[in-house]
Amino acid sequence: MGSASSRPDGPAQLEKLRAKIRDLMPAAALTAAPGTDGVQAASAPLEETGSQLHLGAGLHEFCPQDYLDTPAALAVQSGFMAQALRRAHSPAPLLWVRARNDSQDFGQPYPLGLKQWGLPPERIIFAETETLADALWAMEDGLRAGAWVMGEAGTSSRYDLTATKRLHMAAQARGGLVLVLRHHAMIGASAALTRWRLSARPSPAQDWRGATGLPGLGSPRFRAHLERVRGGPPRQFDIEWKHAAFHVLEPAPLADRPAWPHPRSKPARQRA
Amino acid sequence: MADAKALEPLMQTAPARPDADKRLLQAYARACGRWSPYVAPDPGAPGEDGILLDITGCARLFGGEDKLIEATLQASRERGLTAYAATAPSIGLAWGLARFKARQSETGWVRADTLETALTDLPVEGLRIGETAGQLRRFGLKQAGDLLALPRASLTRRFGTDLLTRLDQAAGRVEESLNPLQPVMEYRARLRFPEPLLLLDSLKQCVDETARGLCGQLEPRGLGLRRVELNLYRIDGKLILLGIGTAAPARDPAHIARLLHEKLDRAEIDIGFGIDVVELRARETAPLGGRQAGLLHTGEPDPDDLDQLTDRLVVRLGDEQVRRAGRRESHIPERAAGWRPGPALAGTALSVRETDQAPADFTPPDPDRPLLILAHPEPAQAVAEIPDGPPRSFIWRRVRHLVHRAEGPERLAPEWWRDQLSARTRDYFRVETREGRRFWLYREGLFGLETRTPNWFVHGAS
Repeated sequence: MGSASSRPDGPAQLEKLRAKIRDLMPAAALTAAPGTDGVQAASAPLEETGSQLHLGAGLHEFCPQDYLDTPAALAVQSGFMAQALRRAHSPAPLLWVRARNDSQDFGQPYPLGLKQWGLPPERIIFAETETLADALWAMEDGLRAGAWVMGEAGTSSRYDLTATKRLHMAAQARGGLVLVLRHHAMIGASAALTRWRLSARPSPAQDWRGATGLPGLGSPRFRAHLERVRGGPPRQFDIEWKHAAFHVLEPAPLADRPAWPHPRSKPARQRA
Repeated sequence: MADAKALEPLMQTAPARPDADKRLLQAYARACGRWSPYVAPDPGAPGEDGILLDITGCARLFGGEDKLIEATLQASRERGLTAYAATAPSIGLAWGLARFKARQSETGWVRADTLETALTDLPVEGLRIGETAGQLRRFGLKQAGDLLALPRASLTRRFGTDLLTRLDQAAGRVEESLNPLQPVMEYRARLRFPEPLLLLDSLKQCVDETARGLCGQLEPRGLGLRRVELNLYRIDGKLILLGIGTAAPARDPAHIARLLHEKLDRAEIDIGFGIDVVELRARETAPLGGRQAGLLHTGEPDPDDLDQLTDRLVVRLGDEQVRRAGRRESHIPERAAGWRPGPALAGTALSVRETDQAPADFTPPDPDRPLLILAHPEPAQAVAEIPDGPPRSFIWRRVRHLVHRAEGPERLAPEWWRDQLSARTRDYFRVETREGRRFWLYREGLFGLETRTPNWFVHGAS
């Protein structure tokens, strides 16, 4: 009965709510896509220029395929962050947040190694928290202050839809990037723009710089399963970290082939 | 003791605990900070402990010297202490009056308005001269006035220079200063309430208010806060002390207040019966000039925002948990670079601020370094084709990895000027497994020279 009587001012109420939402939403998200419901991202979640990949502002997640792939996933996460920082010419500092006791099995980030991946160690604020709740707070606070954030979700269930939405909106409001490393076995709802499931792939052999009896290491390669892209279909491809950027590799039979043409007699013969 | 018990069977005894007495005296002296910023504990013989307060300029705030003394004595008695007090123009005189004159007065306190008359009547024991007082009494010198009448030269000859020094100190002829318990801070803001505060919210309001006051004092002088101390005086004479630091000089009251609020929330303080004095003191200040705001809005993060972010992180997560990258001149990987808390933060401002420190160079040495490094290298069982060669396979954490690519060795010798003789040379290899996973391993010890059975360790990944 009560609902029936309040129905006449329904539209007015709706308009009021819309105005409220408009106040809450970051300006960029609203101006970007008129005509849609106003929640669409300002930039594409994932841009491809040539064979290069770039992440759009907001939250992105990186998930190892397997427990042992955790360092590989972290490498991809670092690579993408370095690439984005360089591309944006952003002097933003980097806030690196880790919750203690969560997926630190492979050790701590090593400043010299980070530098090699193109992340400037002198701009990193490294924060270690007791709980994931603190970590989420630190990440969000960092984003609001204009820092870009590298985070870890760990195994806690607190990293849920609400938490990810908050992170995503905080990042978008200032055009920042928050990349989160997720645990390989934890899959829950998330508001991330993209989610990558990553495993290491053998790098091309470098015969000229190996150790005794073994070829050297080429540029790192990863099998990337793009499990989730907002507004796009999931995909799977191999990526390579080369010249300080991620490149999509062509499917194996097309790359790595001999310089002379393949004898393609089989299909032709069938047609005849 | 037995005789005493025989005389008075109800007598209770307890062992003396000088350490506990000392602690109590310290704590109470701290709490006396509510009367005056200059407070010093003055430990004496058992049962003779004292606290010195410099009340110059303070009395007015409490309605005159008499009221101030009454209030201090009242507070002491409420804590169950027997206390006597005296005010005097010199420390020596006050010491003597409080111990030897105040006891006889009805109110438990005396006040020396003029130095001469008070000093003349002071018993010689009140001169802080210990056993010399007994000797003086044997000569019939019972009061300080008797001494003043004698020629100084003869006094020195008989009783040493100490007597004259003490006499002069009491007479105010030789300067004596008290050594305050807490460093005296030039800038402070305090609020006093007739009724104690009981709610955390009202405390926070006081913090806002005092932060505004303190920042207002600093602004005309071009100073910013580096360390701030919040003193909460509990009504039952306890002092709660909270401190915060900032990454860069700060003068924004809202920021300071926010940090303190966070600290108040985290510290889980025991308000007890309430807090009646809230004091905010600038423990450390640094010059903070005006800053030129950018003409163009470039969307770059404001350095103030970032410093404030660091402060918030430090207050919430703790000093040790917020770190910056540090670099040391060393070849040993775990020593060469790492994350350093605290002091590293202070020197290296985040972005455009100028620092006198040269920025650390994080360019890695020529061979690659891994992304992740283990705090302690972990042993692995490795199989190598030749003793000096890279591993062909290794077992680490019960998982077997087949090595398909490898680079190395990179030979790192121990730093002989630092390590013990047992430290051994490490040969580092960067390897990639069949699956493409990358590890950083080393073989410890030069084969044939330092060891016969080389040990392998995993030190990093990817």
